Amino acid sequence: MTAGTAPCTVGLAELLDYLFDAIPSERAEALEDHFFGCAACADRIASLERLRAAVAGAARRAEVAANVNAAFLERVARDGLTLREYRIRASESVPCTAGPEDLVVVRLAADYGEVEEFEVDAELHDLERETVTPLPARDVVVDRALDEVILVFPGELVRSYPRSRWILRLRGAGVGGRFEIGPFVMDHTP
Amino acid sequence: MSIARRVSSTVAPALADADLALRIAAAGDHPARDEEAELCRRYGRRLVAFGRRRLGSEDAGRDLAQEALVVTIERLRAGRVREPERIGAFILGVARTLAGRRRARDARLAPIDAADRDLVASSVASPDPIARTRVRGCLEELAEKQRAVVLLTFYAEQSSGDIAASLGLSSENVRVIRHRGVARLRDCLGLKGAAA
Repeated sequence: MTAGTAPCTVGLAELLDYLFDAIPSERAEALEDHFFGCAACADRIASLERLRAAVAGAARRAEVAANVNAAFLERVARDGLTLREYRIRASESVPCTAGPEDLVVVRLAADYGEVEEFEVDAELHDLERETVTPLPARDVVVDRALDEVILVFPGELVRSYPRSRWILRLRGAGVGGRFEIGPFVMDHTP
Repeated sequence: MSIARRVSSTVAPALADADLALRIAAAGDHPARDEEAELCRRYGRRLVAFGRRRLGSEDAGRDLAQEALVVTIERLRAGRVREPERIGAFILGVARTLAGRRRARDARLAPIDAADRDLVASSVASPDPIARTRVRGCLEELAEKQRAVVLLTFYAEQSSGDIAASLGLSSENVRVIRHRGVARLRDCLGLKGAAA
C-alpha cells in the first residue's frame, strides 16, 4: 500500500480486540497511533471490514444455520426478518413449517445447570421415503440467561426437506458426569 | 450521505503517504484529484473502523470518516498541514477531534462541497462484497462454537465479554474461539493477506 512503513507488530487477535472489545483507552489509543502509520494493518483492517460485512449480510438474509443466543435473535428482529419460533421442552413434540424468507428458530428449553460441553444428536426421519439421516452437531452452546439451546435455520433450507420428523437429543458432560436430555421432536410439513 | 460515484485513483500504489500529501499540498488551486482519491482510499476503511468503535455504529463511523477526509484534504490544499510527512498522525488527530465533538453532542456536520463528497464517499462505502455462496460455504465449515462467536461478533455486535456472559464461557475463551474462527474464515475465503 505505502512505501517505507515499519514492520507490523499487531497480531490478528489484538486487532480483533481493538475492533470489537472495550479495551482500556490508553491501549486503544496506542493501537490507533500504530494503525494510522501501518500499511499492513490498514490492509488487514480493510480485509476484516470486508469479512464483517459479508458475514453480517449472510445473517441478515437468513442464509446461515447456526447455534446462537438471544442477542442474535434481537438483532435479526431489529433487521425485520420474519422469525418462525418453536420453543420445545424435553419429551415434547411440535408441528413446524417455514416460509421461504423465514428464519426458523428452534429453542430447546431445559435445566442445563452446570453442564459445560454439549452435542446435539439430530435425526431426520423422512416420512415419505422412510429413511433416517443423522445430523450431529458438536460443541454446542447454551444461552445461560434463557437456559435454552437456540438453533436457527434458513427457511429455504427447512422448506427443502420432505415431510419428516426431526428428533433431537442433547448429550453433555458436567460435574455430575455424562447425561442426555430429550428427545425434542419436530413434525415438519413443507 | 449519498454515494454519487466511485472515484478511482491512477496514482501508483507504491507512492508513500507522505508523497501523496506533499503533492496535494503543492497542487494549490488545481486539486491533485488522483492523489486525493488515493489518500482517501488508503485511510477510508481505517477511519470507518475507528469511527464505529468510538461512536458505536457503522453509519456514524462512515459519517465521521467522510468528514475527517474532507477536513484533511481541505487543510492539505490550503497548506495548513505542518508535517505532511506525518499525514497518518494528522488524519488520526482530526478523527479524534471530530469523535470527541460528536460524543459531546456537537454533532453538526460541516457543509461538504459536492465534488469533495464524491471524492471521499467511495473510500468509506461498504467494502466490495464477497460472493454469497462462498461466505455461506465457509461459515458452514466452522465448528459450531466458532460460527456462533463469529456471528455474534460480526452481526450481533457483541463484545467478547457480552458473549462470554451470555454463553457461560470465559472472555479469554471467547477471544481464542473468535480469533481461530476469524482466521479460519479468512483462510477459507482467501482473504489472508500479508499479515495474519
